Amino acid sequence: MRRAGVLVLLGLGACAAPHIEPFRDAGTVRADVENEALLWDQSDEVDRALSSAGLLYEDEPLRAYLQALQTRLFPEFAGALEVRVLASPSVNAFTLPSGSIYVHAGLLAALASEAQLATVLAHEGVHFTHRHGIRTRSKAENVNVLTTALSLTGLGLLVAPLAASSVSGYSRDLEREADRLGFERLVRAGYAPPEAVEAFRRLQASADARGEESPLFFASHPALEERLASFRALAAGASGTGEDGAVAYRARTAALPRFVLDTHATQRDFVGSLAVLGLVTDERLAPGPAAYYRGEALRQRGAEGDREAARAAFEEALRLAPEFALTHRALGRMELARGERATAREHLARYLELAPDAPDRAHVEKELEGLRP
Amino acid sequence: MIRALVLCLFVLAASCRVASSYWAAGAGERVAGPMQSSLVVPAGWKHRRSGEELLVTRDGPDLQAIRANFQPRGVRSGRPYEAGALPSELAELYVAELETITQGQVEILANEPATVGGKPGFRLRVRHNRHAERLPIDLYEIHGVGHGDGLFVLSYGAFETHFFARDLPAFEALLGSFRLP
Repeated sequence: MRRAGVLVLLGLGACAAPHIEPFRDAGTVRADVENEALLWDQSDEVDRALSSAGLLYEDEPLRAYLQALQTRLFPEFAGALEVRVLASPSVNAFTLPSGSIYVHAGLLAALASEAQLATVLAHEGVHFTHRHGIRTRSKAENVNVLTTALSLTGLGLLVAPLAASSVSGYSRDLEREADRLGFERLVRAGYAPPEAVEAFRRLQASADARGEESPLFFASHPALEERLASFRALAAGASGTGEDGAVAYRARTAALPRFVLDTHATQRDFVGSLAVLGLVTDERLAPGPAAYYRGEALRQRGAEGDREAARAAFEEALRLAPEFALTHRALGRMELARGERATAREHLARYLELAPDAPDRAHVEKELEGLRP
Repeated sequence: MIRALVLCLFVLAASCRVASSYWAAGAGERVAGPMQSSLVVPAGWKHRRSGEELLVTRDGPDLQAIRANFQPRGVRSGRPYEAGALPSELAELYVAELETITQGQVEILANEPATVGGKPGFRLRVRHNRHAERLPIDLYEIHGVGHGDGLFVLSYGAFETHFFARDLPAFEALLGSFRLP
């Protein structure tokens, strides 16, 4: 019995994490803790897999903008942190232990200003500078998390465990540390403190619209309410007003709402579409296209009354933006279903005029053939 | 690997029941397909039933597989393939299933009208990038046609290199022989 107790003590001792100093600047970034180099190698493998699988959102000016923002937040770490955008409609971000930060396109669509994005990037950057990956994973049994992730394919399966290791898997104390130090970076970089609260509010609104109980970025601990309260207190105590960078952000991310909505529409994720539409303002998505996407989401949902509501939305879209091709296709198909052949023909023909390279051109041409008078 | 498996199960099968029958050698004869449909298995190929799915291959399903099945609803979404839907709408629903299952890792190379079993349907050419799994790229040729409250799907999948082009004519011949119930 005594021997068993000794073994338990030895076991506990073996699992205890060593004290790990944060990196001070890019010059001190070194994988010098046991298993850390392995974790970095595995991170590099994830970088390569995401790239070769074509999962990155290819927009070099946008990537450069995010990279510059990261450098503004962490100037002494220039070159050590690398930001990339994933072509995913999910509202999420995560950091690999080696310093690669991934921001999902859906997150960029959900946020509304540079300062809000800076809130997320600062939080993620602290996970790297304070080595939260290895501090969490210094136990031998945990170092294979990334390998496990790599053995799974696909964005969701690949990212989920990594995201978990980045934002959901850290202890309450590490998340608090990332929030607090990230907020300090935000203020030091000259951003408006209240935008941090607004970032969390928007992400929570998105999660609520999707019916997510525990949105990934927020993790489940500390509780969201606690983190929001903490950010409110930090913002209230912060001096200076700072900038929000909303105009620059809107310009740089102008294509994101459409990309995310198109992806949701293709996947028939009407819940996701409606969540995005609840957050995107007229300045980022013109009212005409917004009405179309709302109509399309309602058409796809198909609940009682949705068909009529979708039709009304499409007609509004037509009034606001008569040159928006997708509205004509939607109305053409609706008219076709109602047996209104002449009107259907007009809309479908107009669709092809406005979108001569439409990927479904062959289908529409076939439908038009059947509508010849 | 898991996602690829799910994709195969989806593209290739509405029914996941484990095959209980042995392979039967094809000699160019007409065999029963799903839901009282029928088709001609190319000579030299073998086939077997797995629930309501017919699986046809020459060298083994890991190398090339033709599958014929009937799907009353989307495997992932559960959304029914409604009677009277346009071929373009059925294709849209089917593509949404593919996109959802693979989280966008499929590339739709072609989506166009096609005649399947003598009725208007759709044809898809789909590329499935499996680099993240360190596996070769798969190509799929998928034809679908609405019938009653459901969708007949005939698919052919193989590695892009070597196998796909070599065995595509056999699939096209099988497709031409397909008869609806």
